Amino acid sequence: MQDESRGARILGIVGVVIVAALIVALGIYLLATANPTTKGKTVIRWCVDPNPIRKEQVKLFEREHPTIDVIDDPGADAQRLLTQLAGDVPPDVMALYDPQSIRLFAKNNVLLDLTPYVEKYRIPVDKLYPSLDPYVRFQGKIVGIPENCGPFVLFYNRRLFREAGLPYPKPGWTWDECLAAARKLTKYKDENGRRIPAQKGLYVGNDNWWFFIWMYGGHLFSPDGKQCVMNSPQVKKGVRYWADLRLKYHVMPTTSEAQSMAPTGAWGSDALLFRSSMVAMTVAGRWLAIQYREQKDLDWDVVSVPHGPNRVTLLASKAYAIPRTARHREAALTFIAHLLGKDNQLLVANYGDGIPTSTDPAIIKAFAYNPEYPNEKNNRVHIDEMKYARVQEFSPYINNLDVYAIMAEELDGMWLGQQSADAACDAISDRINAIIRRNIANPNFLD
Amino acid sequence: MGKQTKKRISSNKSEALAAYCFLAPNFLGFLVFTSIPVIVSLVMSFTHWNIFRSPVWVGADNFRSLLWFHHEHGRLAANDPMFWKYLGNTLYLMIGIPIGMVGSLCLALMMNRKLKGIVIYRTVYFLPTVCSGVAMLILWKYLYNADIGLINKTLRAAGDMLYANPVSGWVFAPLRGFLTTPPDWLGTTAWAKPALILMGLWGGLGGVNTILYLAALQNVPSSYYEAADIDGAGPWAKFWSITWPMISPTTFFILIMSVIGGFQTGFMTANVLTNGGPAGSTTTIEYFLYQNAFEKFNMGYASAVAWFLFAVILLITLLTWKLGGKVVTYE
Repeated sequence: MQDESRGARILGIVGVVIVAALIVALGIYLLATANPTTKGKTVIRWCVDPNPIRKEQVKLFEREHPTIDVIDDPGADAQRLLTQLAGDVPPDVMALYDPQSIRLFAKNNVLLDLTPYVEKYRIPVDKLYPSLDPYVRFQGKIVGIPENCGPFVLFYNRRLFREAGLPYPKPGWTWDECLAAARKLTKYKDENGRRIPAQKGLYVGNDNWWFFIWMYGGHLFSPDGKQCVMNSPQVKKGVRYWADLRLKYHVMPTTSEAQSMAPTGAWGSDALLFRSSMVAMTVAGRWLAIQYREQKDLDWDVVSVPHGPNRVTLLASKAYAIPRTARHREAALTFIAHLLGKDNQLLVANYGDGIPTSTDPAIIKAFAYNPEYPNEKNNRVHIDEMKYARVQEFSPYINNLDVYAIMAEELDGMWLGQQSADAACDAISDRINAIIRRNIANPNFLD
Repeated sequence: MGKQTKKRISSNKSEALAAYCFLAPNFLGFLVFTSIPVIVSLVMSFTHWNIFRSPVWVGADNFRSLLWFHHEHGRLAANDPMFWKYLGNTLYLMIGIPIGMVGSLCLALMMNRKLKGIVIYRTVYFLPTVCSGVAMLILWKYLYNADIGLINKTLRAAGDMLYANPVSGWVFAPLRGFLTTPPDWLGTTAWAKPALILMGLWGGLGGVNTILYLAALQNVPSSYYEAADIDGAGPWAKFWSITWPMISPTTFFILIMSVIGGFQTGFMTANVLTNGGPAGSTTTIEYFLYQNAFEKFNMGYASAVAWFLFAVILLITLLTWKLGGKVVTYE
């Protein structure tokens, strides 16, 4: 009995010791791998999306800077970045994908002010497109460096246009011209007595409301951001036009139709639908060229997004920033300066991931024609659209996600025929303004 | 105290120490990963914290914003109308609970027989429970497709067949609209929630609840049924007077666990299948909580939602316990 209890005690102690040893070993492993080092080299960690081109970019940089190694850490969503920052294992360079994220991080003093380093590291911020400013500056300080960007353009299927006997669209065309073409490009088929869409003329995603908000000169927010003006007559007119494309003229697939037409039978997106020639035109940024190039039988080209009285298109980009607490600041700055260099800008742009953010004529000329893709004759369209490109609006008094959620819900009601376009705009305004008022009255709710 | 007694006490103490040592790792894990975070979240619900900065004490502001009302244009308006909408969605989706319980009981009654191959049936019905949730959701997204999905194709084919015959056409006339033009299940606000309930029933029937009922049925002494046979009781009388009371503890347990689970469901469905739409009709409190915490980084507000949910679940559980105690039969 005494032996048994002694044995039990020993076993218990051994168990505790093993668990404690495992915890210590795990802690040592985590600490050791948090900041990897290579002898004689500085190692920086780059938190960015998992685009395959990142490996090429890293190789290019390391060739030119042999004393710095770059670890490409795929996954730059805000949650991941915040977790790393909160856990004091910040990346050295991180990607931020929208102006409000940049503003949020900068306002909370997370980002390094790059202004003092621009001259020393020769970061050509002065050569960036002015419309990219929301990705670059916060309260006068330079906090982000956009490496590539994408004004939205219209991708069109040349074969479908030829089959319909339509001339190819020209830059500067209008929404009415686009609608006329889309109506001829919309076809149906008969299946067991039911008429279902075989091909649609146009696809503009449910979250691409900006073109129609801005179409007649409207805005989402007032200049000071304290009011949502979605209920202005100009915006309502644009949203009515958008609604008619789908609900009156049926040139755009509904969400259900898009899923039915999708090659997978369940998942439908503009990229998949365009690749499979189920839609003749789609509005997107240059990054989709990567996918379209894979479809060898797809004869595609680009043209400017159609416009109303107000010629404008949406501009998307991403900015690279350095956390204030980054361990290897100098190496990170060297890397960021390299990202704006000609070699890297052309590598990324030729890959298809956006267009160069630099207005350097040499870079623009090299981008305009890429002999690897001789059929892409209209790269100039992307550059020309930068004159009309505008970054999405946001207000400092409301979280963008709240705006998106409200827009999606109320516009869903419009698409389902439960409310008119005007009613949707009024509801969006009311709801957003209620939140803005609450946040202004109680600044604790502001980020 | 005799030597033997002293030895016994010392041996008991050693055994107790050994027991505590074995329990320690699990208890530490519970403390670190469960208790402490729960207490922290309670404190957080009284703060505004966006992770970037230190939490700011705001008192009951989060709860007020979540649950209270204000006057707007002469009417009473909720401070957060979407919260009430999503709470309504959550309660609506819980309609599937009683249906699922009845279905599970019926399945268990059918499977509680010594038939050849009954094990195969039990396995087949249990399969959805062990399949990947995401894979099932993707499958159902295809099934529910309005044009090419299997469900609507079957309904249309059934309609074509039924309405080709005047007799069956007359019998099924009330269903004509449904069978000839089946609904856009996930694309309309009217049908999105019923679609999710149906999907949940498919996955839930034959699952854990059926297993629990099966075990309960097998524990009912056969002598009761024999006595009932002698008294000339029919199947329904036997079920109502013997089976139902004898399995009432299991029913009670399943009801409580289902209600608790019902309030905490909906994240995977919203994230994979519907994105919470159309028009927010499939967003539940759980998804709303996730969005506030991990998309908007509004940790304090999300914690307030979590604690409100806890309070509701606790209240309903206590009520169920109090009322259920009167109808549950213990042997």
